[in-house]
Amino acid sequence: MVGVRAIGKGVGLVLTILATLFTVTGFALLGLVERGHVAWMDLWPAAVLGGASLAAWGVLRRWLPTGDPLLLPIAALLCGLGLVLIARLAPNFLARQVLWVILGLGVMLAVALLPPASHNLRWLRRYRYTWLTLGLLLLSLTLLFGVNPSGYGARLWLGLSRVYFQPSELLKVVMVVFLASYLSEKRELLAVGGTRIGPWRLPPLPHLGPLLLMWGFSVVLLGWQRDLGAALLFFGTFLAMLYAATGREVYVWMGVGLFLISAFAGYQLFDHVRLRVDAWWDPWPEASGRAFQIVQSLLAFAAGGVLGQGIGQGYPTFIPVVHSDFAFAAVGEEMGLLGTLAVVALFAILVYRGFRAALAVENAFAALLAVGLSTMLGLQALVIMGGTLKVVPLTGVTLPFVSYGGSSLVMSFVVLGLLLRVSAMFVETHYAK
Amino acid sequence: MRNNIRRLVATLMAGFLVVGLALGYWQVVRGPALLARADNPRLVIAEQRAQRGRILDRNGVVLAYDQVRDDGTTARVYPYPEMVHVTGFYSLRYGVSNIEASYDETLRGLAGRSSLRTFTDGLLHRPQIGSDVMLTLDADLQAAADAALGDQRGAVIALDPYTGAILALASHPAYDPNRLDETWEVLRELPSTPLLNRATQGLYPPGSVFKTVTLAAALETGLASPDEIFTDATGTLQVGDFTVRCHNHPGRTTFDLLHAYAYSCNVTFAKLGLRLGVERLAEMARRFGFEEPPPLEIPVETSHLAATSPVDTMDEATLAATAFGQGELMVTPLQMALVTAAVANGGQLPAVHLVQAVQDGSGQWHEPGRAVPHAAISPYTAQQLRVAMVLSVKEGRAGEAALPGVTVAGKTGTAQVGEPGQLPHAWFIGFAPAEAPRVVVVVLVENGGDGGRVAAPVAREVLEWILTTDAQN
Repeated sequence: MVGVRAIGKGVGLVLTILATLFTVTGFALLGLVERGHVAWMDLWPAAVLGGASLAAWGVLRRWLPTGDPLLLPIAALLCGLGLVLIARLAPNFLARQVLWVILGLGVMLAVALLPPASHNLRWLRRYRYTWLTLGLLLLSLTLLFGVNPSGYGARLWLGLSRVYFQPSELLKVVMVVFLASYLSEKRELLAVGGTRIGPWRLPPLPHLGPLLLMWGFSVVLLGWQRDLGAALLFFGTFLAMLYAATGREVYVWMGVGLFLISAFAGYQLFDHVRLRVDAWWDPWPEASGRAFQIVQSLLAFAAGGVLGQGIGQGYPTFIPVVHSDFAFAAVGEEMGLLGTLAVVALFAILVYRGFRAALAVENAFAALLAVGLSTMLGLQALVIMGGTLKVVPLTGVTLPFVSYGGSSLVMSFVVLGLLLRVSAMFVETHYAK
Repeated sequence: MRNNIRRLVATLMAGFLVVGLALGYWQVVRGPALLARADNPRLVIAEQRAQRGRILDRNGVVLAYDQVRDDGTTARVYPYPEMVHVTGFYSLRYGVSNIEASYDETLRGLAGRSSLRTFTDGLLHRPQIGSDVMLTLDADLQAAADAALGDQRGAVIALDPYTGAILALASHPAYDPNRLDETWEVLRELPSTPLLNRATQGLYPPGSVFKTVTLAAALETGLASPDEIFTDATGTLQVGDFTVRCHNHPGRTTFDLLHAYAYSCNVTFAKLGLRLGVERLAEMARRFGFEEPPPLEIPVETSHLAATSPVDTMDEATLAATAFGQGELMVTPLQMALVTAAVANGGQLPAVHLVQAVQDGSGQWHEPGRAVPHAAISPYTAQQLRVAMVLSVKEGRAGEAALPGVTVAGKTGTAQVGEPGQLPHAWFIGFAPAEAPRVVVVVLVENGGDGGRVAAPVAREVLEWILTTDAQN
């Protein structure tokens, strides 16, 4: 049995303080680089983030003491890094991002604490079709009324006066909830049934139908909206959850085949897909043209070397829109290999802790939920980090907790809240007996 | 379900591992190669922030320096723009040239720095500060040479015959390296080719100044003696289909060899050339440095005895013409300065150079290594040539170079260019004082006309400046 209490109670506080110190240091360094001295005013975002995350720690300590103590400090550290990067790269967005972080922490606490613990996340499981319909409805609204706050590019946002929200971010979480709920009920049926054809045993179509339908609908909507990154995440998460629930590799291979076919079709049909794949496969001949972003990204990583140029002392701003899609390249240039490996390690630990909660919990819905959310978080980090490093084609997804972007940040905190909740369930079910 | 989840974790962790490996690849393994790419904008910024070393003249006068602007970037300033043909230019758009190019590493401060120093400087973002380079040029003498040459197209070189140090090097027209980026396109197209360094890269027929080489060959091989008597009664000599003509010594028909040089008799030198044969003449030219680029710190052209065809197939007519400085001869003013320096230096060809000393990272000055001087001709031949050149100024065609109270040795040349309607190139080579040479001066005026009337006065002005300045000090 996995021991959830392996980490001492004080660790969460120490780590949250350390994360705060990192952010304070980052802002102090920025002030030193830009003006040669540190003014108290420079440190306000660090102070706000530090205060809010310590307060959140206090709330969790009091009302959810059995939650995983590592999740909050990791998120606080990544958010701190994100704030430093935004102050450095796009200072106009700093105040708004701080607000989003505070809002995110609040939403995280609400998701983790407000629904009564004894309900075991029933509020999510019960109303899966409601949640999904709501998500898809919002997404459909974007198709009709979508805008892009920057005035160009994919119109993925819904605007309400000056606040913009990206429904696809909400849909990502909603779909994981829906799949976890559906699969936890039907997984036995999906795992064993089906007609045999030779060595292959086809999955039972009637049970798979609603799943494929929902997934197909989302993917078509996303493909239509040209939000390739989100479509890729949906697909990967869907496959991972299906595999986790049923253990049947045939789903994975079918999925991979489906993915390759649609990727090939997308490459043939859509210019924006072809552009990204070409720029990924061989960017060098078009280094100053269509592959400018990825080449400049690689140059930024190279400029960082092992130790980095120091915060505020590199030139990552040569990469267009560095503050959202290429935040990781900015880390690479200014904090070097040590900084980027630290970020990779943070995400790996975060994902690992999420899966750890899934392994520990008895409740199948909660386990699948944790699997789905952790996979989605991990995939999103991998896709954008790999994209900036020319490991995979670039897709416009954010680096969770780090990149600028309110909807993504808030939804990442929702994921964190749910993972906290699941991690607490094991202890509750075992020790409350 | 647990085993499925464990496999999923393993897959995702493998993904993180791949990202980690990719980070190592781009940030460490491929890093240096990527950063060296020409489209890395950081190179330009580093360039703008680096403080390039200065270029100084032999007395410490600043010829090029970096002015640091308020925003931390630097601008290259050349207080003596007319020296561009030596200092060269520095431009983010068009690169570097001349000394700025050949001593680029030193001026950037990269030469001779320890890797630890490079590492800590980079880590602490210390501005890169380059080392200084000191030239052999004398800014005042250079100004005098520039003034003497004036608006004429051509070149002036002043050289220390013992050390090979170039004291002044003028090439007109020059251009302003301070305004290079704005003027480059125009400069490239101008028919007067201001970007060409006429002193080291301009190839010209030498005319009569080449008689110095022919005379050296004749004396060195013993095929003629200084007191051998030559006669030229008609001013013509028939060599096959080619008629050698000479109008240089009206009223004189008989003279010894040294006076034939002083009067610049083409007929006599055509005879000498035929007597020597092409191998001996070519060998002499080679010993003076022809057929090989002189090892100077700025770009140079190679001088050739026969520019357009192999030397060993030269016919008699061309040989006769070559012997008095025409034929297919193509030489640079720098090459003629070396020939003259060997005469002034007792036959030793000095190691010509422009860089006096180079600063290392700690501010210490070092003299760069130089070629070893070697004998081009015997001291005896050098002495006879000196007598001939003194005669040329005293009694012969180089009289315009004479200075009161000083014995000047010299030779003029009026090189036919073979293009109808174009004046010949005017040449002067010489040194002073003849008995203890202080400086060698070579003047070329493109299409200037008569060497004695056009080039010799320019040389006289330069010599006068040096000798009076010397006398004052």
